[in-house]
Order: sequence, then structure tokens, then C-alpha cells
Amino acid sequence: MKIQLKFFGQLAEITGKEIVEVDGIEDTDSLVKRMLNEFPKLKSCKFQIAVDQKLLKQNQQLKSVSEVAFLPPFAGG
Amino acid sequence: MLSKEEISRYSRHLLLPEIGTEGQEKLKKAKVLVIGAGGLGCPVLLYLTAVGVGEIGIVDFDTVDESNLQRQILFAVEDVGKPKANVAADKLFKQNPFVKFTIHNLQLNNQNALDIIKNFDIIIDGTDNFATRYLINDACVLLNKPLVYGAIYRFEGQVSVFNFGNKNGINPPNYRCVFPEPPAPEFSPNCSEIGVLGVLPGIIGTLQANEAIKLITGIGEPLSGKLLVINALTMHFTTIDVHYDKGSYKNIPACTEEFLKMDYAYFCGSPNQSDDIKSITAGELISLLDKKENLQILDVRELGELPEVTSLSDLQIPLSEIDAQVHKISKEKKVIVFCRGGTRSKQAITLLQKKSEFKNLYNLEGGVLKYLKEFQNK
Repeated sequence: MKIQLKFFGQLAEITGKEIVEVDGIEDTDSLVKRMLNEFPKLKSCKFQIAVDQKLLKQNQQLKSVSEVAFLPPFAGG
Repeated sequence: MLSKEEISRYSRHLLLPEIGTEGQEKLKKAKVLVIGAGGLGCPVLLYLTAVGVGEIGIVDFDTVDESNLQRQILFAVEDVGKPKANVAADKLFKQNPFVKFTIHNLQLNNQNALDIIKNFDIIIDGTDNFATRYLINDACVLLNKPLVYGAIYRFEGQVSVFNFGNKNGINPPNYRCVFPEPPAPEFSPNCSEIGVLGVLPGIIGTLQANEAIKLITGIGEPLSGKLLVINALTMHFTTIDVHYDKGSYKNIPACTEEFLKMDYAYFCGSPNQSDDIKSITAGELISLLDKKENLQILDVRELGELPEVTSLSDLQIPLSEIDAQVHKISKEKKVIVFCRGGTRSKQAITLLQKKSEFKNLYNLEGGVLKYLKEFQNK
């Protein structure tokens, strides 16, 4: 099943697009690994992951997941 | 009790059954602290004043700059150079003389934060840097105060309510539950460095004011346990569920004594605190230039950024491209690094010293703005 990845803030500037589609990735750990590989500049960013609009604190299987968001903190005010 | 004038002034609120006299009196009794009277702070302050919050505290150490006027809607041309907190309070009092304003013309730090925050019911974060955001969060957790969070980046914004409510005995999330650690300073630029859409803080700040009103009057569903993320270009609104995370508490000071010992600038890796950056004042640079010293002068501002300074136009590499163009920077000559105000240049130096072991870099204190002032006074 295809999963939609959504990148926010600086992260979207690094990936070059706000939405990326991926397929055949087992869990969030391998997803992050693959993204860091594909976009090495992401390594210097701090970001959180939300799976289907829920913030995640540990690895999660991506079976029957439709969306993963990559969220950086913003400082501006 | 509302006076006759107040009943007439707040009539549109009194007509709403959800607010009515009871809700309006709650607003009148409420004390709200707005930290930062900038892009976010201005709309927050304007609306909280208009709706009749009884007491509003304003914290800001800065003065109005011409470049603020594009989005900081409380200020006018005549205010440039004046302290933001005072200008804001003067204007807001004219909008609603029933509101009491307390002005804190200072930079919030771990020594003064608790004494200020403890006097208010709700705290609103409209600051522009991670160190102060973590500091405010921790102070709110310590003092058990609800925190209305708002933050912006270019065309995007985030809003949430932290440290509020207690669902079925489970603690509410705080800022650290969502973002446990700040990014390195060279990857956390602020609006003065990367730009921001003028109306964006208006959108996010207005949502923060809305959350504060909901918390005070007890109506609706506050954004507690939810992080709202908005993109002003695509108009996508995303709401992310966030939860209390026990692990977040390991970095929050457990008591006042610990809080007073915290170094938030260090926690956020702020280059302001690092001793290993050499600096040079504008006066010193001018005399070096007069002596025709063999210097390299590196401008790390974005291309086309103003003011243009021909006497300093030697080498220009925007901060974002430093890595790629590092070979152009001399390792022999004295290199003076500058930007608009002196922040980005420090970040550039930190980056260069860390990655490429430069030992000949000097930060121009106060940036090109200070330099031009000194140059004119010469």
C-alpha cells in the first residue's frame, strides 16, 4: 500500500516537495532511515513523526497506514 | 460586576449564550501574560484587549524596527526606535481603557521568569527563539500554568495549548512532549534571517487569542493534546494528536532551585554563550580598514539583502551556502564575518570552526547596522 509522506517547514525545503509517496516500507524506523539516506541534509534537522495524525514516540509498523508527517519545531514569532 | 459602559461595550459577547455576563466577568477577572510583542504578540494583544481581559502583562525587551512594520500591526513609523512593550501598552489602553496593563520591558530569563509568570493565569508564547520557548514551557510546568503556544516559519505555523487540563488522571502534554529537543542553532533561523509572510503571524496569533478566550471562559474544545499545523500557501490545516510523555520530564527542572540553575541558551546550543568565538567591534574594524590591513571580509547575508555596503563588499556567501563554498574562505588572513545584526555571522563561525577548523574568524559585533552607524559618526 502506498503511503503519503508530508514534510513541513525546513524539511520540505530539503526534500524539495511537501508530499512524497512511498511503497513497501515495513515500519517507521526503516522509513526514517530511508529518508535520511535519500535526503542526507535531514540528518542535521530535529523532527518528530506523526502516523495518521498521531505523534509517535517509538517504532511502528506501517501496515494499513496512509500518511506519515515529518514535523520540525518552529521558533519564529 | 460589569459597569454600564462595559455592558454596552461587550454587548456582542453578552448576546452569545456561551459567553454572556458570566463569561464576560471571567474575562474581566483573567490575567494573561503575553511574552513577545512581535508578529504573534501584536494580534494576541489586540484581541485580548478588545474582548476585555482584565489584566494583560506584556514582556518584550526590544525596540520597534522599521522591518517589524510589515507584520507587527501595533506599531507605526513614529514608533521606530521606541520600546515595544511601552508602545503596545499605550496603544492598547486607547483601544480599551478597562484593561490594566503591566509592562515588563526586559528579556525573560531563568532568574526573572518565575516571579513574572506566577502572577498570571494564562501564558502566551509569542517569542522568536528556542531558548526562551523551552524556558517558558518549563516555568509553566513548574508553576502549573496553561501555555498557549504559537510558532511560525515562513508560510507555516503551529498552535497548541500545553499544560492544561487533566484528562482521567493523565497529565496534559507540554512543549517538550512534542519537541523534546531544539535543533542546532545553525538550523533554527528566525524571521529576520529567512523571511516570513506578513499575514502569517496574524493568523497564528489570532488563533492563540481564540484559545486563550476559550480557556478563560471554559467554552469549546481547547487545542490541548493537539498540535495544529497550518500552511498559508496551500491552506492545509493538519491536526496532530499529541500525548503526555513521561520522558519529557527528564529535562524539566524539578524545582525552583533547579530552574534557577538552568542554562537555556546552552541547552539550545546558542552561539551567544560560546566563548570560542572571537569578535571585533565596528570601531576596531574601521581602524583596521583605515590601516589597510590585509583582511578578508565575509558577508553571510542572503544575496541582494540590504543595506548594501560597498566598503565591505569583499566576499559574499549566504549562511545557507557556507558549506558548499567553504573553499573560498581564507585560512591565513584575518577573516571578518558579518551579517545584518551579528547573529547569522556567529552561526556561520560556529559552523566553520566546528566543521573546517578555522581559527582566523572574527564576528563583527552588531553586524552591518552597527558598522554603518559607527561609520557615519566617524
